[in-house]
Amino acid sequence: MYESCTGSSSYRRPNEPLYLPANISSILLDESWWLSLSKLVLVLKPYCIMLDILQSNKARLHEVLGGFGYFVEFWKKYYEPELREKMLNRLQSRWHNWEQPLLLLSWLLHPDYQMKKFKENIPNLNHVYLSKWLIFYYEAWSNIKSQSILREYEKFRKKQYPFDENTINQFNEDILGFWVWVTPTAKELGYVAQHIFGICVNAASVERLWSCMGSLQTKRRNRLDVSNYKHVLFL
Amino acid sequence: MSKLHASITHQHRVNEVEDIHKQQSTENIAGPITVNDNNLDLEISEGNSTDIQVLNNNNEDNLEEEEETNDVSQVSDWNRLISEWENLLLQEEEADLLSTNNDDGELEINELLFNQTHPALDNVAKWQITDIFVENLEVPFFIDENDVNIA
Repeated sequence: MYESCTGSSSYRRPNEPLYLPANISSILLDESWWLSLSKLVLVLKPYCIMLDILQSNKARLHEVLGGFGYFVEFWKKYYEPELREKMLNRLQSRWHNWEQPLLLLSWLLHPDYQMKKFKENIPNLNHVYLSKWLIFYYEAWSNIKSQSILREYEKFRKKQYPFDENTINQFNEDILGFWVWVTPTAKELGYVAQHIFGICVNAASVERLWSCMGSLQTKRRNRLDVSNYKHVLFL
Repeated sequence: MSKLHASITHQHRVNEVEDIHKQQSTENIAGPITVNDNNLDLEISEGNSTDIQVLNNNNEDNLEEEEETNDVSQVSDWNRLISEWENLLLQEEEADLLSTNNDDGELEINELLFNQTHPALDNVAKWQITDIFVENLEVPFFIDENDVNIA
C-alpha cells in the first residue's frame, strides 16, 4: 500500500488496486518523517497532559507553577541541545513577564509544597524574603496594615495545629476548602491564601454558565432583564 | 349675739391673715436657703425678728431674687446645653479626626503601593525559571526514558 503509484493519472477502474498518490507515498516511505513524528509525540505529550490538568475547573495557581517546573525539567533532559536551549529560553521569557511572587506564594502556602520543591541557596528565594510578599499582598488586597501575618505563617511553617498533616489530610487535596476552614485562626494568612487559591486559572468554571446563557439569549428572546437572566440561570 | 358672732369672725380672719403671713415667712426662709446667699440669709434671720412689713419687703426682694435666680438657672441651663453642644461638636471633630487618621492609614498604604513597583515589573521579584526548582521534581505525567534518549 505504501508503494508509490506508477500508474497514469487517469481515473481508477473499479477492479484496479488502490494506490496512494506519489507525493504522499514518498513521504510515508521516508524514515525521517516517522522519526520526526515520534519526536513530536514525545514533545507534545507532556504539554497535552499539563493542559489537561490546567483545563480542569479545579485547576489552581500552584498547578500552573507546577506546569512550569515540569516543563523546565522536561526540556532540561531533552536530548537535542538546540531545541532544548530554545525552549528553555522561551519558557524563561514567558516566565519573566509574569507576576512571579504570586506564583511562588501559591507553593509557599500549599502544605504539600511550601519551600520543599524550591532549590536552596537561590538569592531572594527563602521563606523570610517571600514573607515580605505575603505582607505586601495582604495590605494591597485588604487595604489594612498587617498585624499578625508573620506569626500565623510561622505557625504554618512549623506545622502546628491546625496546620499539621493529619488535619490537612482530612481535606483531600481541597486546598481552598482547607484555607477557608482555617481562616478564623489565621485571619491574615488565610485571607491571602484564599485570594491566591481562589484565582481561577481558566474559564472552565464559567463555560457552563456561558453555555446556559447562550441557550437563554436567542434571536426570539433577547430582551430579558439582567435580573430575570439570573433567576432563570440559578433555577 | 351678733356682736359676739362678728368678733369671732374677725378673730378668725385675723388668725387666717396671721397664718398666711406665717406661711409666707416660711416660704421666704425656704427660698433664699436654696440660693445659698449668705446676705439674704442674714436679712431673713433679721426679718424673722422684725414685723410683717419688713417681711413683706423682704418677700418682695426675695421674689425679685427668685426671678433673678430663675434667670440664673435658665442661664446655667443654657450654659449646660451649650456645653453639651460643645461636647457634641468636639466628639464630631474627634470622629472626623479619627476618620482622617484612617484615611491617612489608607493613604499610607496607597502610598506604599504607589511607591512599590508592581510585582510583575519589579526586577527584585524576578527569578530564573531554570534555577528555582529542585532536581527530580515529581512529574504528573509519564516520560519514557527510552523516548527521551531516542537520539
